[in-house]
Formats: sequence, C-alpha cells, structure tokens
Amino acid sequence: MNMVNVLFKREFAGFFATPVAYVFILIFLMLSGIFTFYIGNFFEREQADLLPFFNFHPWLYLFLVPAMAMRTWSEERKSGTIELLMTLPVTTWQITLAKFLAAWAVLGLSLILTFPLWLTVNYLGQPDNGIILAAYIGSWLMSGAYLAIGICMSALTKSQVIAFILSVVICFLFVLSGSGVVLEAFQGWLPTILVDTIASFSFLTHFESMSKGVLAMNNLMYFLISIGVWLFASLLIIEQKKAD
Amino acid sequence: MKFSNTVTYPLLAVLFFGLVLLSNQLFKSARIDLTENQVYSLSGGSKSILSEIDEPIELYFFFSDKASEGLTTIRNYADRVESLLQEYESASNGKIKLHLIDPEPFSEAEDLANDYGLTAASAGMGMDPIYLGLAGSNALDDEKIIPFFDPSKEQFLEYDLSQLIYELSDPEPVKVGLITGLSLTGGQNPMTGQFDPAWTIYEQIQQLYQLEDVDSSAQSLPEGLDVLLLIHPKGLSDEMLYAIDQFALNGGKILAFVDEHHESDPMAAMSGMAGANSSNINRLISAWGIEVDAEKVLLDAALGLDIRTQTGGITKHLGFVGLQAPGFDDEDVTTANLDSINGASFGVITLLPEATTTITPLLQSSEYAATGSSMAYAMTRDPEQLFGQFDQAQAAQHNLAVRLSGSAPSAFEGKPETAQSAAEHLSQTDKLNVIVVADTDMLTDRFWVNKSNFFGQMIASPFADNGAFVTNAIENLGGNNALISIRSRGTFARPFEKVDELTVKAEARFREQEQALEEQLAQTEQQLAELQTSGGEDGLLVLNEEQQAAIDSFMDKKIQIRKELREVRHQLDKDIESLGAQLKLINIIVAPLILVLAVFFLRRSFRLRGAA
Repeated sequence: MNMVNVLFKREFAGFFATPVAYVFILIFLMLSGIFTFYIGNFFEREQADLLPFFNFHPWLYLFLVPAMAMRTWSEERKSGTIELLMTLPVTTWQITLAKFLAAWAVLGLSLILTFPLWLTVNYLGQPDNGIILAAYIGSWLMSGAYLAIGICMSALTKSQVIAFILSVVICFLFVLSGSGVVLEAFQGWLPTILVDTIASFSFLTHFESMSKGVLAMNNLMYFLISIGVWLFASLLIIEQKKAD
Repeated sequence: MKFSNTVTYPLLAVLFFGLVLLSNQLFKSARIDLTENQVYSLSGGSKSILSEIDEPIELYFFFSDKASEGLTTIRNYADRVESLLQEYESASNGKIKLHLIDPEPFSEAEDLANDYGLTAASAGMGMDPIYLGLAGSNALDDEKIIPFFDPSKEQFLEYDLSQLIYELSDPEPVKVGLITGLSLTGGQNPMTGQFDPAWTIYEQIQQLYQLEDVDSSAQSLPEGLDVLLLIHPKGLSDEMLYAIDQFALNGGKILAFVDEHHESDPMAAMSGMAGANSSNINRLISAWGIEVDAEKVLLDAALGLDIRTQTGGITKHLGFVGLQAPGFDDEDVTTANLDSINGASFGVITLLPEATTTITPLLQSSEYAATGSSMAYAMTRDPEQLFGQFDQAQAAQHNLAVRLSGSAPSAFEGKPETAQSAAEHLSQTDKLNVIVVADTDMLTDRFWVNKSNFFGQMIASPFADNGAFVTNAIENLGGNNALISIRSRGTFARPFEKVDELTVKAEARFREQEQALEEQLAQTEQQLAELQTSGGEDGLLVLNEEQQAAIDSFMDKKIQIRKELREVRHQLDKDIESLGAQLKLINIIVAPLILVLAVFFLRRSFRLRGAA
C-alpha cells in the first residue's frame, strides 16, 4: 500500500506539473456555472437547492472525464515510459490503482472548488444542506465510474483520441440506459425485470436518487462495483499487452 | 492466452451484471436519509400501518409530466410525492403496487383519471390541464383518492398517504358511540311546540360513520366502539362513568365536548342559571390531568364576534368567539387546515399540577382574552355589559381544546360493586387518547352552518369550520394509533428568501415613489386643464405666446413624470436582475479564475518548500 501511496503522489503531482489539471478545473468550474445559471435557470427558479447544478453533472463528466483519463495509459505507452514503469518493483494493479486515485482526487478537488455555488445558494435562501452533501458524494462516486471506464479505454489503445472517443461512447451508453428513450425501446417486448435491470445500469438513475438526499447502499455499491470491474478490466488489458 | 481472453472479458461482464443485481437485491433497504427533516423516510407509524396490510393494494399516481414542463414548484412537489410513494412501495413487502401514469390530454389515462374523480388544475389559458393525484384500490374494489396533492399541505403528505392506505387496508367503517345530554336528533321544541330538525353535525356524523346512540342512563357501553363521542354529557351514572373510564384506559378514543354553560339550550336560556346546565364528567377529566373551571367563561376582546343587538345596532359579543388561524395548532392534523371556528361561552382548560398526560393545545383564544364569572355571564342579557366584566389586567391566551395522550390513572379506586362488566379493573394506561373541547355551543347550527331549502332539498353551506374540526377529530381518533402518531413533517419547498426580501423592499420603495409621482402628475394635469379653460374664457380661440409656452412646459413635465413612473416600475425587478447578474459573474468567471490561480500558487509554494 505504501507503494500505491508513492505512485499516487507522483501521478497527482504530474497533473499539476502540466496545465492539464488547471485547464480541467477551470473548464469544469466555468461550464458547471454556465449550465447551472443559463440552462438550469438556477436563479429564475427561485428554489434554494442545487438541483440545476447537479443535474448536469452526468453530461459534464461525459466529455470532461474521458478527456482527463485518455492520457493515463496511452501517453505512457506512446512515450515508452510504460516499459520503465513495468521494470520497477511494483505490480500493475498498484500502478492502476494509483493512477485512478490520483485522477479521482483531481475530480474531487474540482468538485470541492465549486463551493462558491454552495455559498451562493446559502446566501439566497435556506437550502437543505444534507441533500447537497449527498449529491456531492453521489457526484464524486459517479465521476469515479466514468474515470474507471476512461482508464480502461486508455489502456486499450496508444492513441489518445481513440481512447477519448471510445470512452465517451461507452459512458454515453451507461448514461443512456436509464433514459426514457432507451427504456421505451425495450418496454413491451422485454419482461419488466430485464427492463428494470437495464435501467439499473444507468449512471443517471443511481445518481438521481442520491442527488435527492438519500444515500442508498445499492447506489453506492453500484458505483463501487463499476469502478472495481472497469479497473480490473484495464488491469487485464495491460497484463495482456505486456505479454504480447 | 488468446483463448483465455475471449473467455475472460465476457466472464467479467457477467460478473459485473451479477454483482449489480446482487447489490440491488441485497441492499435494497439499507440507506441513509441525509435530508434535514428526513423527508424520504417513513415514520414508525406509517411502517406499522404498512405491516398490517393483508390484501394487496394498487396505487395509481397520476402526474402530468409533459404538461407541467417549466412549472418548477409543482414538478418538485410531484417528485417529492413520487419518491415518498416509492418509499411506501418498497417498505410494504410487495403488498403495495405503485403505477405511475402520465394522463396526457385526450388519452385513455386521462379518462381513467377522470373516472377516479381526480381534479385537474389549469396552468392558464390554452395550457393542458395538470393532474397530480392518487387513486388507490384494494382487493375488495374499494376506492380511495387524493384528488390533488396541494403543495401547501405538504407537511401532512405522509399523514394523508398513510390514511389512504389505512382506509384501504381496513375497510370497516369507524364505529362511533354517542352519549349526549342535548337533543341532537331534533324533536319537539318545548318552547314553540314545533318540531326541530336534527342538528347538522349529527347528520354529518351519521352519514360518515357507523353511529350508535347510547342512552345517558345506560350502565355500560356497547361493544366494539372505535370512538366515543361525548357531547355535553349530564347526569351519567357511576357505572357509566366507570365504563367510560375503563374504555379510555383500554385504548379507546374519546372526543368530549364539555360546557359549563350550554347557552344554546332554550330551557337553560330561560332559567338563566349557570351550573344548572353544565356538563359533568369532571371526575374523568381530572384523572386525565386537566380541569375545566365551572365558574369561569372565556371573554375574548380580540376575537369577539359582531352581533346584531335587539335595537338593531351592531356590537361585539365578547363571549361569542370566532377563533382563527394563529389560535389553531398548525402541526396537528385536526386543526392545521381550518380557517375559523365559532363558539360561545367557551370554558377554559387548565393543566393540573399532578398531570401525567401529555397535553397538546388544539384551540386557543387570542392573547387578549380574560375569564369572567359564568354566573354573571348567564344572567347577562345585553352583550354590552360584558365589557364591564372584562378584566384587561388578566388578559392571556387560554386553552379551549386540548389533545391528551400518554399515561393516565383510572378515576376509580376499583371496580364499583354495581358495575356490570366482567373485565378486570385497569388502574393505569400509557396510551390514553382523548380530545377535550370546552364548548358545546359550537356544535349548534347557528354557529357554523346555514341551511337553505333548494327545490325541496336541504342544502347546508358552512360558514365556519366547526364541522370539519369534528370530522377531522373523529377521523383522526378512529384511525389506528399508528396513524395518530404520524405528525406533520417539515416542508420541502425552500424559496430564495433574499429575492423575496428584495421584492418586498423594492415594492415598498416603488409604492412611495409612485404615489409621489402620481400626485405630481395629477397636479400638473389640473394646472394644465386650468390654463386651457382660462384661455377659452377670454373668448380668444388662439392662445397668446405666454400661455402656449406655459402649456408646452406643463406638457413636457407631464411626459417627464410619466417616464419617471415607468422607470420606477422597471426598477422593481432591476435589483433582483442585478443580483442575478452579479451572482452569475461571480460563479462563472470570477470564482473559477481566482480558485484556479489559488491552486496554482499553492502548488508552487508547496514545490518551493519541497525544493528548499
């Protein structure tokens, strides 16, 4: 675990050595502000909650997180540093975990830095801060799931662009599986239990119930399982590529 | 290697699928409700109602999802109702099935909503109607509905839903026993010799519940009563008092209307004697921890009703009290949605020091109420004289109706020898459930309802909520204990108080300025009119230059004032708009830039320190 800690620090510092983290945070903060105020009509609704803010998170992450994750393995492979990394006395899963945690920490930092919005809503009225806390936790967990997919796709290919596109597509499928459009297509010919199962794979449904203020165990578990499974898949891919 | 990979990935996918399904099943009910008032969690009362459901219940939640686009408040509330309903469904162990229906215009679903009798709200001209209601049915095809979920009744949302489910799960009508010393059923009036109709309140109770009249001289209560209704009980035998006492101690619910001076009784009014016509269950009441003082009657200077005097004038009657919203307990389901209750010569309920019960005041007088002697009150013919009895110095708020719960002792040492019941004597209970109201006049028609003959049908149109209060109380007491335990919950709507504050301020300023400007405008117009008419008086059709210049300048002034008025009106929203613009600027541009710079410099200083 100590090794993971060292690698985590290296990765985390790596984000801030280049403009990547700054650009990511800036874009994240500005876009979430624009979405909240202009598309979510935060001010005009006159309701002291942060629903318009959190409602756009699945869509924000859809593009921002793959953009952040695409370089994780692709770059290492392209620049050849992966060989160096593999000769070090660390296991692949330690590296994968460290890379994931570092990027997840940056996402967490970006979320924390949206606190001016929280101050704003507390200035304007008396929001239920419990709901807001639950939504933040939910949002961070969801971003982890996006990230795990992005890292897996990055392991798959040398090209960052392909990694980006693949992860957007897969994340989009996961977002979409709970939306009315998809469910309607399945309704009628699939048994309800299967339709429900498809719906339960959606990031949207799990995130929505959390953004209402309820931390349900199955929602938390869903995101944790997603993260675990996708990280495990990326581990397999790396091992396989190493063997090739 | 190749082979193992073709197996590994599908296996991983299956594992993913399986784990998610497993966690969905395993952790269905494990959750933390982080909301401030636990709005998504069912209270113990609701859960115990759900656990007692035997037959499956179908719930149909109608919400016009498409038609309500853009209506934030109603959508948020619908969302809240839906979440709570889902909570009921998941806590019901499969006994409740929830169906979500969007009744689009001209659809079968809309017809269904109409069949159930749901109410459609209109969002404005040309807009599609909005449904937000619930219909439920049980295995016996009993139907209960909530026609429209009113966001202003949000604190009772859980109570209303649990009540609906309770009624569907236990379709037996509430059985009410009535003991009264008044002739509620009507009959021959000894004064006029005519036949009086039954009291409206009596008819109402008879229609809604299974009512059983119990004779005052009876020695015991009928079996299986849900609620015992005592209206001005007089001259009850010891055996009867004992039966009532044991009924209450056994978990029976009692709604008691007692009065030291029932003035609506013509015989009592004639005798003019206080005490001669008072209720008498004091022995029971004091065991429950309260006292209704026989000597006192409430005089309320703020809430006294205006009545017509014999000479035709109008005067305030301090004894005739019109209770209003601040005097109602807004957290108790029996009183929270009432607007007014009228009554006369209310008694005052005081708490005994040795009381072990929990007492919740339901109806209270204003703070400008004092007590007068009930003897003097009974003798008084002229309401004006009551002002003389009103003692300003002792004005205070008084309890006029209370809910009693918790533990109480029996009013009897042991079973009276003459008592008929074979049951064991109970000396103590910890689940007393009684509502005591210190007035009976409020039940007479003249205080709350007008009756008119409409093509041979008697139509009752209430002008006060006395009837609603009685039915709320019986409904509440007649439900099971779990239902009574569900109290009101916090509300969910949270407006921008800052914006509301700005609106109020802006409106105040706007009104002031507008008034000043309008005065100026009126003056200017008057001057203008004077000038124009004086021009005509000289017989000259053409105004001289001076006059013309004066008129022009007034015209300009008028236009100027009008412009300012428009400006002021525009200013009303300007403060709010500018607040919005500032917040947008801060949140979208200023804060992100500052924060990113802060991160940048923090990191630099970290690195420098690390390098040093």
